[in-house]
Amino acid sequence: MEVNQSPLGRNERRVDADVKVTGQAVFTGDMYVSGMLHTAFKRSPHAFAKIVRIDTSEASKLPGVKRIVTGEEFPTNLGLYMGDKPVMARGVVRHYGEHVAAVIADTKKQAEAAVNLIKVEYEIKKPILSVSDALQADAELIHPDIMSYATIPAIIPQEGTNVPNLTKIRKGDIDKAFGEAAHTVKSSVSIPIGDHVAMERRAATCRITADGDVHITSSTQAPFVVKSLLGIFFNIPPGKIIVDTPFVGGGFGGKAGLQLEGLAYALSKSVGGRPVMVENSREDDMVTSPGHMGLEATVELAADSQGKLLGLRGEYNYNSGAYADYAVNISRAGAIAGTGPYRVDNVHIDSRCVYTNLPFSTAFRGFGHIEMIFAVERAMSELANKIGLDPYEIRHKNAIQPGDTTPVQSLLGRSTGNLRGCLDLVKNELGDITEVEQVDGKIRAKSIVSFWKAPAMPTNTDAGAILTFNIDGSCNINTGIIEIGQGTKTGLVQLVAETLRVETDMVHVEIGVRTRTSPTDWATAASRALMMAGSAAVEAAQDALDQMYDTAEAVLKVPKRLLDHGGGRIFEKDHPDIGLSFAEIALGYVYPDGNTIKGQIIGRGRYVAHKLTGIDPDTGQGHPDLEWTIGSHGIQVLVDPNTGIFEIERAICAMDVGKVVNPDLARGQVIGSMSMGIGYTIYEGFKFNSRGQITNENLRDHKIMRYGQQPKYDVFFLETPQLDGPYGLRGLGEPGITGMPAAISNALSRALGRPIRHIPFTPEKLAMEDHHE
Amino acid sequence: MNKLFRPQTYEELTSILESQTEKYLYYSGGTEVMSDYRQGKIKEKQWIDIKHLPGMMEQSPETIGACVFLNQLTQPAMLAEVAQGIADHTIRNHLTIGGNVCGKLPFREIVLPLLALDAEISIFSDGEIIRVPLKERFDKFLKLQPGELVTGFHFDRTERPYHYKRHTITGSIDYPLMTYLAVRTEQGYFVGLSGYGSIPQFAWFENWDVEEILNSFKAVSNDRGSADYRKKLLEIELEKGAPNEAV
Ligand SMILES: Cc1cc2nc3c(=O)[nH]c(=O)nc-3n(C[C@H](O)[C@H](O)[C@H](O)COP(=O)(O)OP(=O)(O)OC[C@H]3O[C@@H](n4cnc5c(N)ncnc54)[C@H](O)[C@@H]3O)c2cc1C
Repeated sequence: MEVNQSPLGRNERRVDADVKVTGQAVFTGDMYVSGMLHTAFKRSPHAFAKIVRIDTSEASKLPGVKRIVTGEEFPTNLGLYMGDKPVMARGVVRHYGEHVAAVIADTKKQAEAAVNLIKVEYEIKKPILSVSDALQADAELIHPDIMSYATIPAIIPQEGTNVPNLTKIRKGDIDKAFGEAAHTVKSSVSIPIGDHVAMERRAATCRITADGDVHITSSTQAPFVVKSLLGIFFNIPPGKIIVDTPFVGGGFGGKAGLQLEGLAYALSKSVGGRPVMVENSREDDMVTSPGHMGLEATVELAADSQGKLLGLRGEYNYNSGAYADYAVNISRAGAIAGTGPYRVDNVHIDSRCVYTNLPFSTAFRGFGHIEMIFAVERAMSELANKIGLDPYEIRHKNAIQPGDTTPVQSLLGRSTGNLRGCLDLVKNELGDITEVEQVDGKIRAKSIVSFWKAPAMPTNTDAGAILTFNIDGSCNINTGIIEIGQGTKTGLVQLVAETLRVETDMVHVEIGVRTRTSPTDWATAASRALMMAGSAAVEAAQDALDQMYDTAEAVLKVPKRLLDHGGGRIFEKDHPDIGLSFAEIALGYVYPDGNTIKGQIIGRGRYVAHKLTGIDPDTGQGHPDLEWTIGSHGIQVLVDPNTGIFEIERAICAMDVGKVVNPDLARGQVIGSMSMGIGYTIYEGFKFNSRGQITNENLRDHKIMRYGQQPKYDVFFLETPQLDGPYGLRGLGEPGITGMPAAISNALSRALGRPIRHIPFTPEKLAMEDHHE
Repeated sequence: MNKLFRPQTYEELTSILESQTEKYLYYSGGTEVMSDYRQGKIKEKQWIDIKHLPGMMEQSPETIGACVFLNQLTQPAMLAEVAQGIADHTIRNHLTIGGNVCGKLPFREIVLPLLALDAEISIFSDGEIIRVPLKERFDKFLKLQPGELVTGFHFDRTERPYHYKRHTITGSIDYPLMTYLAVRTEQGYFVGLSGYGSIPQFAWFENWDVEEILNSFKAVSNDRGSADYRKKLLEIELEKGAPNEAV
């Protein structure tokens, strides 16, 4: 490490690396306390059924069994933006794998043995397994009481339907645009529901102590959301809820919101507050806890004779499975960004969240953008083909610029990323995108797409940071932000070290978060962590510096404006050798006679999103979009048209991230996103039979990408500063996945000369001409 | 509580078997047993680890012991290549040749080269070890009487021309959509398939008649792929021609 190099922009080693690779990191599932009880769950084998009777009599006789509880015992509904989910099924099961009863026992084995003896009698109903079936006028209602559920105002359920949210975007005059168009195209795509496959399975423990404190430990991305929702749904004063989050082994959105914590609380309460552990097996994690949404979408584009976009009509029907969780807001986010990063003056989008009898879904890396961009970019390529335009050309021509407005008519300012620059970088790598090469009976083809992503979050989304100091002048950062492996905590160290002008080994950071002592923070979600917690941390460092300057001014008897800092000291600008070290002032300055002044330094920093609004329910007009991360993907594939077997040879991403804080970690996030995007597009997704039972709820049948299967990756960053981000940075954790399905689809479609529209793109779909098309 | 026995001799094994009142199971590489156990699918409480019995790890010109790990198989080339296609490297360090032949999963890919090589199989049966041609005992799965134990395989190591192709729907580490092994034999050709149907399928042919070979196998449709697609893949492999050239 070069000593003189600024901490910002350098490849700092991850602060969590050593304990993770040595296996010393402690996760929620490792957090046993004495007297802890274990749980196992009876799961529904049916996708949709009435529960007629649950017989627990045999099960409760087994040794070690403390209690058996069913859903009827808990009248509360849980949810995130919509309270539609019982703690465990009450009267009806709405998806395969849904929890029907819980056994609480001394050991996990005992609990599992008892579960096998629980008998449940069902009256099976015909499950609804696709969005199009759920939207039929005569479809059975999966949630007949949809209008009585508690929701936040941004969510708009549709009475008498299976639609818990409909977001409408109406901009300009769509009929006029299509009327005047020289070219129009219409294209439909689909994506199955699937799983995040975070390495650590979800787990939560709860104990309620004699003082009424509710202690939750959880593998969550959002301990403060857990705290506030538990308070609301179970009527607990928020100050009495303490959520602890130790190391978290990946989340990808699956640990945002409220997951197992409500269940852990209800079960602990049912045994008088004794500590209870709820821990998913891999199979549980895949089908009883939420995965990612599916989509059925149709996009129509209108363009003039030169390929300039005039209008976009979009129908985005997101499949949320049996419960809404984050999905209602994902359908909203997909609408807000619903044109992709293009200037389109006339827009008409209906974006729905749709209930089906499949396992439910929640946030997933990309938050609705991966799905929507697939639909838009497939249509863009079909439009380019129709007009005879180069796929690069049509995107370059329509690229959104500062001064343009988004689908919700919010005006893009100077912080808008440089899409044309990103497209140029990708094109530079790939050359002529339209070139198709024959190689020993195989076909090599390329693609280029654009993507963008804005956070979809509450208008008052906040973060906080507290900086305390040690006797050696080093400091400790305390924030409420969760590290799930994305590298935020390392980034925080770099931002604070940069601000204080010290080496990074003088900055310590707490990996875990405890809601009673850490400052409030919304969640690790929306790629916001380094931007928002980072802003707060930089402000806390500046606040600490102000206080240290106060002390130095008093001791050195030189006005602040004549002081400077660097190398862990505050010194006179005029006589740099005269000064005080941070160690001398961090805990109060002690004079030679023992007198002490000022006391310890405590830096305080806050961040809150500014000027955000909701959107108009009829037109979508508003300003919900804080910042846009914009970029471009390029893909090169080699396909055997006979067998359909193909290889993704190259994956390229150029992204405008404002400022690169740590090049290796930034690159890692983008490559990780691309790799995940490849798995999502060509391997993953749940399979189910006609009864709605998932048939690949394990990692032998639900394959994810392995190290050996990666293409050659190239990553490029542009740095158009985000004016409200710390040192100009903006979020980059998610956007790198969002264009991948579209890019892969477009490259395969070009190779085979026909549109490839239905994920996953298996060899069979490519080899069999009319398979599913 | 589960009990694990680890006999060192066949006498010891016999007396363990005689003392059994409950159902027991043989434990070889354990890759199937352990994953089934985790999912609560194993009811047997008495487990007998067979790896320490005499000859189980033998690798001699005459015999490959039943507990030899897949990664240890090197000769002939077709056997090694089929073994290397199964599971992943870490699993193959534990997965045994006998376990693959006796397991419950439908693939049993290592059976294909063993049949092509006219392997004989040694079975510990009623206190003695008997030796029979594998194909006499293998029909859909290996026919074993209660208590019988496979101890080893015997086959000629001479290299023969063969074609091998393993198609999956994802990367190389996945169950096969179709594993194809075609071998030149003295009388003609052996063609064996795994993943193509719900059990390994194989047959011997005098001539390389693509139509005839294609029609003598039955493809299934399942989550991995349709019967039509499997047929197409098989046809592509067969059209590449008979395995006449030495590899
Ligand atoms: C991750 C993974 C991937 C796999 N991929 C593939 C694949 O691609 N292709 C494929 O063909 N198979 C595959 N398998 C299946 C595997 O080959 C079988 O599960 C095999 O049975 C495991 O062998 P083992 O030695 O680990 O057996 P064990 O788990 O020890 O035993 C399996 C069964 O065979 C019985 N058994 C074992 N040895 C003997 C013996 N000598 N005599 C009598 N009975 C015996 C046991 O009693 C038990 O019922 C995979 C398995 C795993 C775990």
